[in-house]
Amino acid sequence: MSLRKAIIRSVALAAVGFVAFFGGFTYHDPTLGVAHEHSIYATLRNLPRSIGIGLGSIVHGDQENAAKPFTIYIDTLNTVQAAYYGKTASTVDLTYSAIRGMMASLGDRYTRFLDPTDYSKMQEENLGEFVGIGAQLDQNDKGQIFVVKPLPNSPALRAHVMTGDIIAKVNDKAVLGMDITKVVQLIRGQRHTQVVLTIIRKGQSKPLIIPIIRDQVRQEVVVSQMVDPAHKVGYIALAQFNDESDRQVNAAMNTLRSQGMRGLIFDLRGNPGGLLNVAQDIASRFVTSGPIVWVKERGAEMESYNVEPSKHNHPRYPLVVLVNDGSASASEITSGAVKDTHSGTLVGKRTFGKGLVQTIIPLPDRSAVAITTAHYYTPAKNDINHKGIDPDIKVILTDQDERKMNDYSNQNPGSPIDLKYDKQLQKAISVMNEKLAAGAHPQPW
Amino acid sequence: MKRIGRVIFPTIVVVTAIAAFGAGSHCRLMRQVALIHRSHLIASNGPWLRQAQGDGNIQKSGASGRSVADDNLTDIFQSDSPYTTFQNVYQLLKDDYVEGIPSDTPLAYGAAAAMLASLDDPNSRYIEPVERKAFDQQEEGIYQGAGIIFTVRKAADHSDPELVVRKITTVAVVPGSPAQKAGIKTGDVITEIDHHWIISYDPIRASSKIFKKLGKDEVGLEKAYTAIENKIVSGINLAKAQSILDVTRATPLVLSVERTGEAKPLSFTLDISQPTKADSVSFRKLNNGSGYIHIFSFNSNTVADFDKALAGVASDNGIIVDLRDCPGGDLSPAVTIANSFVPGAELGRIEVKVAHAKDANANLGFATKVEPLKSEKPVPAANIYHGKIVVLVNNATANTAELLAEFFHDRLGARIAGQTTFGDGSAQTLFPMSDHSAFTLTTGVLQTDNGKPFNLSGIVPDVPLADAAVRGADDPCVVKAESLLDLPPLKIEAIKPSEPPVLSL
Repeated sequence: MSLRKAIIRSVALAAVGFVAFFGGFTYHDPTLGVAHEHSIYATLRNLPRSIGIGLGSIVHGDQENAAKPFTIYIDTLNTVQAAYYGKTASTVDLTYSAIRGMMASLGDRYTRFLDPTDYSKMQEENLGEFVGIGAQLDQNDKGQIFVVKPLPNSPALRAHVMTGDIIAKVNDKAVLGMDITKVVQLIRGQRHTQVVLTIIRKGQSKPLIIPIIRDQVRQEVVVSQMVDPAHKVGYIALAQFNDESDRQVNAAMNTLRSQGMRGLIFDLRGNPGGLLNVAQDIASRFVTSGPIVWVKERGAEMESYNVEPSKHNHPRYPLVVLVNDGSASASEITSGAVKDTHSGTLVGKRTFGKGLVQTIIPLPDRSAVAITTAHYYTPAKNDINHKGIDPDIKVILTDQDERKMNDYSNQNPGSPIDLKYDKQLQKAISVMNEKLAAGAHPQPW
Repeated sequence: MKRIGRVIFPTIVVVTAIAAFGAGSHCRLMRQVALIHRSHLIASNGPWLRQAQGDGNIQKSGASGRSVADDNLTDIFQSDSPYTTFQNVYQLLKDDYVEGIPSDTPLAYGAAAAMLASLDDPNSRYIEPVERKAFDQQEEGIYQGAGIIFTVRKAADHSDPELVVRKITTVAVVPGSPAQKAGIKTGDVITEIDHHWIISYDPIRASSKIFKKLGKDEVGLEKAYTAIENKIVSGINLAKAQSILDVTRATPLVLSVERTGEAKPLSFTLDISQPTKADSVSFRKLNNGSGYIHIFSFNSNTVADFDKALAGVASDNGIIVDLRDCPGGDLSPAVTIANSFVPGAELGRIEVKVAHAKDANANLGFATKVEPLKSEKPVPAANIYHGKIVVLVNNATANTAELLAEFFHDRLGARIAGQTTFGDGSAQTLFPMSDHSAFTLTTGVLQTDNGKPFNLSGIVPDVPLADAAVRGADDPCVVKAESLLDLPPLKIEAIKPSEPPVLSL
């Protein structure tokens, strides 16, 4: 499914950069030391042998045995800036490295530091909006960047950018073979500024020069279709849980309802999660009442997040939820709620197994921290951390199956639903049809 | 043990690498996480923060941003300075992390280690108390762990020039040590410890050709990433590797080693349950009456040991100063020894950073100055040795030893016989912390007393000799050195100014 693929691809590429950075193999620009009076260097010069002992004084005279993180951070920073024979990064960058190390020592990969760049990216992801032209892009085997489709109400759509258009240049810069995340960076920019695309379109002898004004664009996180028109089985796939998700799920349900949907397949495969309250909103569309999830912070009682009746603006549909090992966190909250309350049937593969909740706390310097502040539990109070949720009906895709699905998806970029090779989807449809044949139907809440 | 030309051992490697690599790769699967947004932003005072920052600029404003009816708001400080950010993060972790934080110590180590790791200098690292004890013992000539004196060198991979590989390279093995008994030699690169890969390069970068080939094969890519992730998770970062080599433990140590000339890696099993005691100096009188003194390392015993040796074997027939298999050590004893031969002369020079200087050195990006390494201590004329000297060196002569060899050559006309030396001019300083941990930092580059840098190039002997397979009475190098004592000394070199600094780690 192209949406999921696009996210996996961009995540993978970002992960490479992220990993490489943390591998410590980047270079920092040289800067000179911070103005501090303490001349460690002078001591160094005067005491060639006893340097080490002489410098015991750089630590603020504390004789405590316990290492205080802040003291050690300051001492190390001062010393490095005064005495390190080599290029050093800025105070800010050295500090951010120290913070990351401090947090990494906890051994919890989700408790982490977000520098201002990371944080603003995350905020963008969470909002489900960004500033750009609103064209979904992909890259083919020849390294060409092409348009999968222009998003609804987007500047790209208004500029008549079409599916299949190959972007040859962005603002006169050739992008053939470039990393797709870099191309996206080139295309994005400030609101109301202009970007000029040079486009090669099938059937046009000459390249088209298309200037587009950047604007706020809504991310598309939902794909929907009446996947089995004969039996009125609808399908909604959700890519992640952000501020756009509930609105778009609702809109998709509206559309399918108007087409006479009788049963819904809700696809959370490869959905890595997102905001907790959004999981609550969306799960509420499928569960009658009671807790969606239990959350427990350190030293506190378990607190429940319950069904929001306002989300029952649709009938209650016979439900199948598709999950796999890429369904994590908010996806597990949702599918866990469906499973425990017997609101639907889970089909696919065991989920990821992340039962932790992070709180994002912004800081005054525009960075932020994500700290694991709670465990969550399913309505039946199951702890799924490191365990995952088992589907009611297991359907395993072999490597060959996945390759076939990949190839299909590469050849049909505009069509996210693969009825030919997606065995899990095929099973979901047949399970739904069994339910409908046995008399299941949309009901009032 | 990392040899310290000076006072500290460089170390540090990306301590956070494993966690971060793991986190990075899992981002693939787990980018978003379930979140609750909170607000906070209630300012309050804290005397300790003011002290660190030096300014009392703390805002007393009300809450802003989204508000949440939540009793558990943590106070944070309303300043955007990096020091405040650090303290804010620490406080939030202490208050809110779900598992709780019983001890601050790992956080402190993690912070320092990561900051030092970000310097991307494998010879600058954080050292925890256990290893620091081992370092301190080295000063007394007691060597814990494997008994390998090593340095970490950076090199580009031959098949991919953009791929940087960091190698733990043996400079010398301590006499009588587990490493020597097992047969580890100068030049050996340690690649695995206890069958764990030492993370010496970026495996994602190294796999870039594989990724290119996989192209759009998502299944293959995912498998490749998982394989790399597993490799990293089961690997050991450079800092940890160095600390394992330096510390005694009961269970045997298994090392995988790359040796030039060997097609496949070699494996050695070492019993490192006992530390090794090694004399810094050994000496004997030779058959023709000349003296022979070997210096193994420069530590707190060396000056006394050398004086004793010289008193024991000094003769008019000259002395052989054997600096083979001497990986270096503290600068101070070498300065004292040099001074005892030529009072007031420089053993060598060290180029260090000038803190907070305005002018940057164009090559380096920061200002440096060259400092002399010499002693002002007066030496009674009767104690000065005036006989001829021949110096023996090999490829395991490094750092402080290279300085001393060149000093004898330049100031006393001593011939240097043997092989080109190791070529390590990097100087580190050990900074102890109040909690008995420490860190090493590269703080300078050594130059000979004539201002010549010798990092990587080493010092070329006047009289090239193949190294002897055995040391001791029949050592052909010693025999040859004895014959060289008969020759008149070389011309004493004029002192030249320093060459422009060249930094290569």
